[in-house]
Amino acid sequence: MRAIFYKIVLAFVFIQLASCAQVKGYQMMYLNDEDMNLVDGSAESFEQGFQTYREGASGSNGSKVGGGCGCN
Amino acid sequence: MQLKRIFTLVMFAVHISGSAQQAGSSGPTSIASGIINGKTETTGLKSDSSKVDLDDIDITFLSSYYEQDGNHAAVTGGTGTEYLNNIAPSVIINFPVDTVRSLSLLGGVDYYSSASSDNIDNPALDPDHVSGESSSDLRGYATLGYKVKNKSKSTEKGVSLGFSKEFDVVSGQIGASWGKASKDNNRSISLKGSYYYDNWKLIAPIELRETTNYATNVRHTGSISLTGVTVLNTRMKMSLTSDLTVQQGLLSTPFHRVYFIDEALARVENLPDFRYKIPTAIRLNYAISSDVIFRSFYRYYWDNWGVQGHSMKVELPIKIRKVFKVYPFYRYHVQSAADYFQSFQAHVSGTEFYTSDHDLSAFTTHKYGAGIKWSPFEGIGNWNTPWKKGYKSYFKSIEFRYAHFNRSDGLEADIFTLALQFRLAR
Repeated sequence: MRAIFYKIVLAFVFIQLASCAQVKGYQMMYLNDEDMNLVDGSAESFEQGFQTYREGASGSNGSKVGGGCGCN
Repeated sequence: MQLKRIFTLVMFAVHISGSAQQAGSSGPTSIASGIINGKTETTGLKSDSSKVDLDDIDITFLSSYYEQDGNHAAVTGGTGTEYLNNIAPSVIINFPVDTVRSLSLLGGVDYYSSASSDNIDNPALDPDHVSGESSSDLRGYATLGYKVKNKSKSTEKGVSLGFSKEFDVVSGQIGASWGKASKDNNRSISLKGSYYYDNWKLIAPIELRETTNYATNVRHTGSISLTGVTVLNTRMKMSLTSDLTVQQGLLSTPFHRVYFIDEALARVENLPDFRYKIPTAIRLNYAISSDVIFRSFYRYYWDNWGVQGHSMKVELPIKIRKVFKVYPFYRYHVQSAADYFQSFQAHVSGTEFYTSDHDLSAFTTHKYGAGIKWSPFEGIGNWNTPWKKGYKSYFKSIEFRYAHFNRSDGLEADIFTLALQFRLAR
């Protein structure tokens, strides 16, 4: 449990320091694309819901983490 | 003469720059843009700057149909039909109050009919059983959100309030969020917290109603989520998200049966009243070209009930002529069983906690499908808005998505989703 915690903290520190490039605003034409957003689309929300019900694992994907229904 | 020429040139230059400024700042064509949470926002500035054109109101209508079947229903102890279908319309409204504040509303209903729920009053799985009230249910829900940006500090704060009700569960939810982006928008970090309060109507299986007692009918769920996003280069960005979810109270489902190898009668499922979950996920998106993007997701899940899981998903949006998008996807999930799970009639009496709910068993799942989206530049079916002359409202896009899901214990499901995006000009 403690090992998992330390690994997560190190990963967050790494991700904040390891922004390898400084991309200027005018260079962000690919990054600004709607499909480059790091979230699931709204059309996928129902699938996330039933995956939460039908699998024992949930969370870290923007979906419900528990509560609000008769799910695990 | 020389001075006169210089004077004329200077006056001409002043005239040209003045005209350019006037043209640049007139009407909604003058744009100041920023990137917040991965979306591009625009505000138009009128030439006198006293009136600000706000972002339009976005309304998304979602509708889905879900159908599943299997042979391990928890209501009947891990055996029997799992047939269920669900019709779920919903609406999402994003309403900019001004240039820094916005409201969001999510509301919808789930109407579902379930053959397994119908067997709460049918322990013997009698095929002539007459369906009762438990064979179907209607759940209504709504969530209201409010966000405020501080553009000078590149921060955003938000709160949310939610409610849902179905026949046997009433639930309330509150949440808060905070996010900050770097000045160059190459990195951001956000923190979200939420709390759910569920109040259950305790309905035991019909043959156990006289003998079953529950310690509580309340479930508390608290969760915090930390996300870090970073740009790796001009075509790639990634995020890391880690949650901590803690649940306490009634974590069993009141009408799930469990059969024992050495007992004739079933008992009601009994699970610990405390659970914590730690999922951690990484996303990586790469723009192969301006028309093809590779999206990927991986999650590792661990909880104190013994469930460990790995989930992986890839998606490949492909744009066709810039207005059509086709996106095939595939998702794989594998998990270990919870410590308290045994299949039908495999539990031994004397165990403190027990379940035969196959959602907590060991299995692999595959989900695959595709979606198509049409979003023409001029919108679909635009019309004039009577409250704002010269502005139009229109349907921004139509999207259809299909997914097939199968689980290694035999559960199969199909889901169809239709999304209509509508833009209301202000």
